[in-house]
Amino acid sequence: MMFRKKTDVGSEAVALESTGGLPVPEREGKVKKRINKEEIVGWTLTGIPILGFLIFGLIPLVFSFYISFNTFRGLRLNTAQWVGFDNFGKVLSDPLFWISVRNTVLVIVATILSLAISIVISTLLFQVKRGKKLYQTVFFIPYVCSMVAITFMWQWIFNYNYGVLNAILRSLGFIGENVNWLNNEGSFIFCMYVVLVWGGTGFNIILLSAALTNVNKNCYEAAELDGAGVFTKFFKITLPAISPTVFYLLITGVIGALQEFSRFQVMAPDGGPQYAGLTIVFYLYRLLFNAQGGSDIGLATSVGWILAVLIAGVVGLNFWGSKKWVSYDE
Amino acid sequence: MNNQQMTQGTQKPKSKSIQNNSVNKAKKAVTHALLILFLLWILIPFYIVIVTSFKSLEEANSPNFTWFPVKGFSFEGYKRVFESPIANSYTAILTGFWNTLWIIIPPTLIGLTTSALAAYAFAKLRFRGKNILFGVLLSTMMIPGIVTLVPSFTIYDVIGWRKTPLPLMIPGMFGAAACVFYLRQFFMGIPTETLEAARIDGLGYLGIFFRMMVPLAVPALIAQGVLGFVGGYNDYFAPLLYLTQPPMQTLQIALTTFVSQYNADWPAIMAGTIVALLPTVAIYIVAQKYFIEGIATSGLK
Repeated sequence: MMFRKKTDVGSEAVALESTGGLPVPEREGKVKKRINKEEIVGWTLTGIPILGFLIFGLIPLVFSFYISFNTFRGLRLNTAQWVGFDNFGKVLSDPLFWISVRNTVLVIVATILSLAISIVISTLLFQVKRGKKLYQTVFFIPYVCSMVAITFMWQWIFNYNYGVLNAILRSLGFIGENVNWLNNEGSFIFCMYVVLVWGGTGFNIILLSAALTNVNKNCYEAAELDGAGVFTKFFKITLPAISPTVFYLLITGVIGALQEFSRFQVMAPDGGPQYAGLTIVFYLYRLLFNAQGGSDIGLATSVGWILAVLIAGVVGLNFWGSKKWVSYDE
Repeated sequence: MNNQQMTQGTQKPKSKSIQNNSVNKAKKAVTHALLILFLLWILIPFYIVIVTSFKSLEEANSPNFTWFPVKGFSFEGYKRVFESPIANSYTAILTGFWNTLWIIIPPTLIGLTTSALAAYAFAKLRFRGKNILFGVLLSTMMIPGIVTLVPSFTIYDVIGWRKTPLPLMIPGMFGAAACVFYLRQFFMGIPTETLEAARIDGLGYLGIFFRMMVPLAVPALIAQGVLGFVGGYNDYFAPLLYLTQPPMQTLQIALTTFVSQYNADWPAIMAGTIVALLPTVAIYIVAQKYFIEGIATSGLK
């Protein structure tokens, strides 16, 4: 769209001469054109990523249809047996799958909670001058950290015998005996919330801070003259102004949450107490590696498709919701 | 004065400035207090890791948590990280670190180059079908990786790539759609007139790219490069699928191996955690500007 209007850099000398260096009018593209060097270069350079997509994206994508409608023994493709929609039926009737859906919904809630906290923190951050850089630097650190390492960090904090959380709670008298945080369904979910929220704010704060600097300052002055308080200003000016960013973060956050895996798998490789640590992707992973009857790639691929439908739903929601309540007025 | 505008929340804007000042001061203090609280929430877990990594096993495994290695600094944990458990054997973490470097850096650099070249072509070259190709490329971002995960895994198994680093290396070398998109935006901002002049001076398309576009795009390239490297360094899922056997393990898998080797040895585990975290945090601190820039600009359409 935009590039059509652009003047082209490397047009052939002939083209430059004939138009005096001005952009060639669009309709000329229709007239038969001999393939020139620029086109060959253009096709080659843009062809590389597209070739990569065809090989590593499109082929597996098409293949995944086939796999999800068949059943296999192990990883041997020659054992394929057409089963139609049976794989999907099997997954959807597996109680363990629905546990993983519930857990994934909890991850989504944690993501929304992180976003809410991020909005508060970045609004506060916007109001300070001194130390702003330091705050920002520190708040972002969790984002660059390995999730595996971070999960071990929290495992130690929540450790039953020697963990610092139990030690603090004991010394404050909140608990008489140590709590086995990671071995109880409820407390395990609580722990994962701590892990998810701790790691989920850094990225949001950076983007929200960038969005906040673009808010029109005159609005605040006008609002103050009208006697608006802190909360009025926040809900009537700040939040609408940053709503596109908030919405973007919400959508990408939910898509990420739907694919949560690493932190749960490292925290509880066996799925956690009562499978409280089994997310949808973790469920898929177990079908691939830990299933009783060997790996079932047909079932695993079906789970992938179900998840893809959920993700597509979120993206659809994006289009619908962004029209509904995001204000894009510049 | 910006602060005054922002924090002034009294109902009567005409109230005395002295009163306003004290209100502002109080608000400023509360704001800072909340921010410092959040700062501590982020930092204290790291502190606990660092302190534990310098404790002796005996002190770490005591029911009373100490906020400082009161029984003296111990480097046993770090020794476990850097010494092999059995003589002449590898150390999981160091091997993993080395593997990560040679598995991640070449695809990151090659992928960045191919992405940048494609971005340049999309931004500045004229060729038929450009819009269609760009549309195809953008549509690839819509396909969730989770759908192609199992089929890819199966295909790699059939062609013998499983248990090799190839699935982690080869696909990325073809460039990434998101990176192309971001760099294209950047290249479109470079004025065409300068490039035209270079063209007249006899520079070819690749000459223009390497002599003019690349030098101008260094910050954007560094931003994409560091983000790509950190992403690959921290990746856990893909290596877990393809490279779990010890000699080829990447650092993240090696860390889990190390933790299972030193099951209840928390000083060792925390030392391993520090060693695994340090490189990316260090890169972030040094190249902070590029991280923030890369994220803030690629995130905001």
